[in-house]
Amino acid sequence: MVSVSWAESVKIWISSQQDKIYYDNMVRLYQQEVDAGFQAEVQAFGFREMPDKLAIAFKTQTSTPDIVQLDEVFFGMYLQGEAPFVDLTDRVKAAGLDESIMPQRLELFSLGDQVLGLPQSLSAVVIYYRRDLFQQFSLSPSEFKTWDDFMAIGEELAAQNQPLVALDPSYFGMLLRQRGGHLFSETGDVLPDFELAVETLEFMGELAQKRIGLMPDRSTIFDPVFFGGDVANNEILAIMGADWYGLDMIQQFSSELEGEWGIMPLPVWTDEQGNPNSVRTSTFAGQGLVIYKGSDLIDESWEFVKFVMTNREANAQRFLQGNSFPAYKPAFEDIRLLQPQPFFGYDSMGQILVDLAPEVPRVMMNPKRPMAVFMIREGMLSSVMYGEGDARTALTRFKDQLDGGGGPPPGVN
Amino acid sequence: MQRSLSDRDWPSWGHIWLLAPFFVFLSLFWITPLGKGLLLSLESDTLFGESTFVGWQHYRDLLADSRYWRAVLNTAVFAVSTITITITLALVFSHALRFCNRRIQGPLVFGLMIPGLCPPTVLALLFLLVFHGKEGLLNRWIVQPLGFETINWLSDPDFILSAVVIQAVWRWTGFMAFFLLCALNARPKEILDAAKIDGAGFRSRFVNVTLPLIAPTLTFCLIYLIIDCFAQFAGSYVLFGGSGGTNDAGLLLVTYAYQKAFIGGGFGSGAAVSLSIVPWLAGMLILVAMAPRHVWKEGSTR
Amino acid sequence: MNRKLASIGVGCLLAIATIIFLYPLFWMILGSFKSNAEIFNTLIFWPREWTGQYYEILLSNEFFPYLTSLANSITVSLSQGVGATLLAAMAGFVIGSYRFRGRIGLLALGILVVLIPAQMVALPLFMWVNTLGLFDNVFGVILPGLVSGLGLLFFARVYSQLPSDLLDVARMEGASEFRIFLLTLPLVKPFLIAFGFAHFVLSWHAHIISMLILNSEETRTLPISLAALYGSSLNSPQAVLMAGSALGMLPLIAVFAFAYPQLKSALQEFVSQ
Repeated sequence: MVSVSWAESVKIWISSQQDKIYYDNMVRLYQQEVDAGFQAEVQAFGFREMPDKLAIAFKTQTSTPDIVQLDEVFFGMYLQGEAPFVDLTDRVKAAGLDESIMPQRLELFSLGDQVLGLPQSLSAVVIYYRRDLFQQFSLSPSEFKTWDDFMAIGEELAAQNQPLVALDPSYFGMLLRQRGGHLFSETGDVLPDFELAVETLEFMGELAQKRIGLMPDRSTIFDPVFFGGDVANNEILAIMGADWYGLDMIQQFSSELEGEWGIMPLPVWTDEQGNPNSVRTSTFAGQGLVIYKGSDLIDESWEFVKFVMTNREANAQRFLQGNSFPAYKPAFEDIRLLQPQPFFGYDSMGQILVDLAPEVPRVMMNPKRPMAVFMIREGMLSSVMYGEGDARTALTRFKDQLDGGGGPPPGVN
Repeated sequence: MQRSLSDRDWPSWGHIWLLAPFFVFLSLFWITPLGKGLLLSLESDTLFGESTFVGWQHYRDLLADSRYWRAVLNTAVFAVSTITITITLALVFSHALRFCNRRIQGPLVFGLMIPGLCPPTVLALLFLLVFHGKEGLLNRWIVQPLGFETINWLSDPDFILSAVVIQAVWRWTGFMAFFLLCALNARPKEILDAAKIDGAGFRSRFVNVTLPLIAPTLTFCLIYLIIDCFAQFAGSYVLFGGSGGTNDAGLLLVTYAYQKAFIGGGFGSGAAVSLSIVPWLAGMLILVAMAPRHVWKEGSTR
Repeated sequence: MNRKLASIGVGCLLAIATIIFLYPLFWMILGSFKSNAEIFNTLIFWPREWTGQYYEILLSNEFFPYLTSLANSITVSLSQGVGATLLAAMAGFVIGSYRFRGRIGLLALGILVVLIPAQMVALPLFMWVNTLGLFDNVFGVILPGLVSGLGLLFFARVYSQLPSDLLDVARMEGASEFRIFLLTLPLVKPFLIAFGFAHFVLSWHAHIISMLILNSEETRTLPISLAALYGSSLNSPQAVLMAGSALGMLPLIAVFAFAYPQLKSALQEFVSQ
């Protein structure tokens, strides 16, 4: 009897204990509302371990899960050769999800014209700023209309020895996407908008050199020590980050700054005449759900995935528990998602995100994307900062390494 | 008598029974997978579905890959510095420990071994604080008091490799001191006394008497460290999460193998990097295993 | 006089070293009382309030069954510590004390295993353990860990140095090889204990292979369970990780406390032989 129920239970792999609690609840909710006989086994592994374990499971095709929650950055890793995920294109269409999920986000979990996963978060990028410090320096969010304004205000602050913004390598991709640039083109070229990329990296270099941007330790804003040091000591006034960054990291690691944070859209880029020529947001990372191609329970898995994506309660809980803001449009109307949040000085994160949602840029998925993101995160910016070459050299090397030795050669299979 | 067995004789059944358990497990759980790993390194990087045979392609790619050579160089520098510093410190500590009151010797040894006993996940968190570029413990307690500018240990390419060395030294010195202490204590008293009566100074006693006597343990320590430097991932993984740090300044061979396999999704080329470590390692081990042989033969009690 | 100065110097050196080396233990224990924000502030040393709540969370199995993981770790590490020492000593005895054809070849083969990075063998080993039906079974982790190439090399060296007179007497009396091996055990006791301890510690922290093979919460070892708690969504209190790790040190301390006096008395015997 035990073995029968085992065989029928859907195995769900996720990468954190916190999300396990969420999914355990969702399984219960699904049993109550849809299918009382649904059996699922939710397993949590470490954030870095789960992708490793999954790669081995796919390679050996043993002990594979049915449903996996994956970050888009890891998702591309599994696309060397035949994709191990169920092609959801027809199911998505049949369920009308191609209409109701933000198309840019759906595209992120696609390869070519196959939809391989469903995005769980909008991942729109905003600026989180310190209300108290803005007041102290008599600044208002409305002054930051363009990146030129940003630079000018930053210079004034730098003159008083106060950096404006924390710098992070992930900003390179964010800013590039905000300006309409890409890491990969649809046909798989690395940095198709090379000059734009050079300009963007030079812009970041300028922020650093003028001491407008402060590069945190280990040059990352994703280390908890960044909050314990730079943020707690009021060394920066603003951070750029996606919705989940504000919901999870900022709230968790600067809990004592409740009410002192505010949210604003990104400044826009301008053309030579000073007219805005970019959107007000960008995108970075975000989780999605995929189904393993070899699963015996594809239909059951799909029904559950669809439920988690579209159920009102499921979407609301993901936001309220500090995970992410949904990419599912009907959820945008849920009043619980639009409430002003005391943590952000009664800014409504939901309202701001809903306004920015149509502007979220596209991202081209590519099997080399994880390696590219990894290389940017772990060295490209710092190597410019530490004088080991200018932006153009760094980006040329980056492109060469990805085209050649940095990743597996294309078309081996 | 078995004693008279020579290099040309086959082992007796009595010996084979003693050797069997080890070598059966060895073939079952290590040699078989190793063979499979070798085959894997000759296959295409396909993660899912049928992969194709590509022969030595991955190895040829490595030879032309500048990141690979960077990793080889870094690993060599890392291994040599770590081993030299750790063994020297461990020798100093183990001698110092012999001066201590017997009762506190145990707790002291244990204290020194703590870094090697702590779980790697905890060390990962701790290192963020120790190596922090501004308020890190290393900067606050050592670099600044000495009057230097703070060092951004984990992102300044000039210092990344030093950070990796520091954490390795810190983790293993206590362990090595423990083994060396055991070896020092096990030296036969008569030989030491004889050397003292002969009027040999500390240095001459150390080189001529102690060194040959502790040679087996020293070899053990050296090999333990060599393996840790070349093949164990824990140290650099906790510092850089699988990356090579700024401009690959801290990229080690193991890290590169990990990147190829797990981040690039290419198990074939990852296996090739891993296997390419074996000749380097074997070279170092042969050096270590050969060097002290003549030393300990002279001092051998036989 | 000179000697006194020397011992004061040595004392100071050791005291400073011990503080540096003990730091992680203090930090971990103090960390088990801190909130996330406190843990990651380099300037805060003492917890703001001493609360046992994180230990309660840990032992209430909210995240994972702590005691089960701890028991699994003890089972795995003890079996490997004892088993690997025994196997390596048996083989090392033969290789170290006798000359015979193929001896160097066997030694080289044993050492070859040491050279292989764990993550390289991980994938094929995982497939193989699956084939043997040991997936999600502690034996799938224990059995491969019974082989230590380093141990083989170590004991080959130890036995090659052992005075042979005693063994020759036993041999004259016609004792079997296995019996002679048993006779040598008391002679090499300090080395057995030292190596057993080292291997215990190594297998306590072993990660990659356990992570792949041990799948369900009931079979996972402590490092695997703790890793799932770390670095994930940062909502989970890191103090629980600290508390789990701090309690996880207890078996290591116990094993050391057992090994150390044994080691010392055994060393005396070894010296007086």
